[in-house]
Amino acid sequence: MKTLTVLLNRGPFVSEYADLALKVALKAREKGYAVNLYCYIDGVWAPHVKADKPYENAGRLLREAMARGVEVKVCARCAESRDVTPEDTLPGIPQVGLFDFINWLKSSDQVLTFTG
Amino acid sequence: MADEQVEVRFLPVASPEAASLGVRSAPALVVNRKLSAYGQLEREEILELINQAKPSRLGIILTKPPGGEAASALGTAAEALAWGDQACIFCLSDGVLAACRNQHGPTAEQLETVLRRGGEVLVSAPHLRAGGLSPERLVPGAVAVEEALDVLVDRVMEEWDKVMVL
Repeated sequence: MKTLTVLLNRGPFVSEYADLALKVALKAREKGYAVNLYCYIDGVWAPHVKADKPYENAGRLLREAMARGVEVKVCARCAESRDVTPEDTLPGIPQVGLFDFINWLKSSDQVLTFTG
Repeated sequence: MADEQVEVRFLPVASPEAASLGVRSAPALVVNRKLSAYGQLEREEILELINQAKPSRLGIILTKPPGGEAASALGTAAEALAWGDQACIFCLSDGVLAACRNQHGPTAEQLETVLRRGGEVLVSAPHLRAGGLSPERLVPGAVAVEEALDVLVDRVMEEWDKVMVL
């Protein structure tokens, strides 16, 4: 199975990038690919536990992506610098070092960077 | 790598093409208009250089409107096409504006160059609609794609060798 890794550097409600990254991730899962999502820089806001609103939002797409098997990780340093604690992040999403992204980068067939 | 024929030539020094490529000594191995090496080479070295020079399929996902980054994206595609590679610009989000007609400036010039050199320009139809635009607003040669993310994922995972997102 081919693997797609998506790097998200942008938070929700700023631009379309978070939504776009998650919709691409969902579409790739639908097509049967393994998909990783690394939340970097302001991307750490996307999996915030409170990021689910009664209107279309990236948090809902992210929950759906996880339910469909997208593996999500958050940059621990980026989260710490924004006071996003592990408890602030959705359960099942580890806060990890950049080495995890590098490993995904090396092992993936393609990488898409939504950096704004 | 794309399944295209590969053009392999050994250029003599005294030729206009050799001069244009900056050939300084003979023989010069040129694969798909790319200067690969000078001098006497072993068979295995030649085969490896030919393999390296095979055309690649470059995908550029453009999310920016006309301006600096869009012009850079299109310029990159134009340059790749000039060197014998394949290039596709996939316009999403505000990037759809870069494929519209009646533009002026570097983005419009690079877009024209990409299409003239055989590049592909695909445009997300849902993003066009979101901006109140119809496919008729696109430059001739640009193609509106209805199932944009579906087609995009296919291209990314099964067709393009390398992908950039701008």
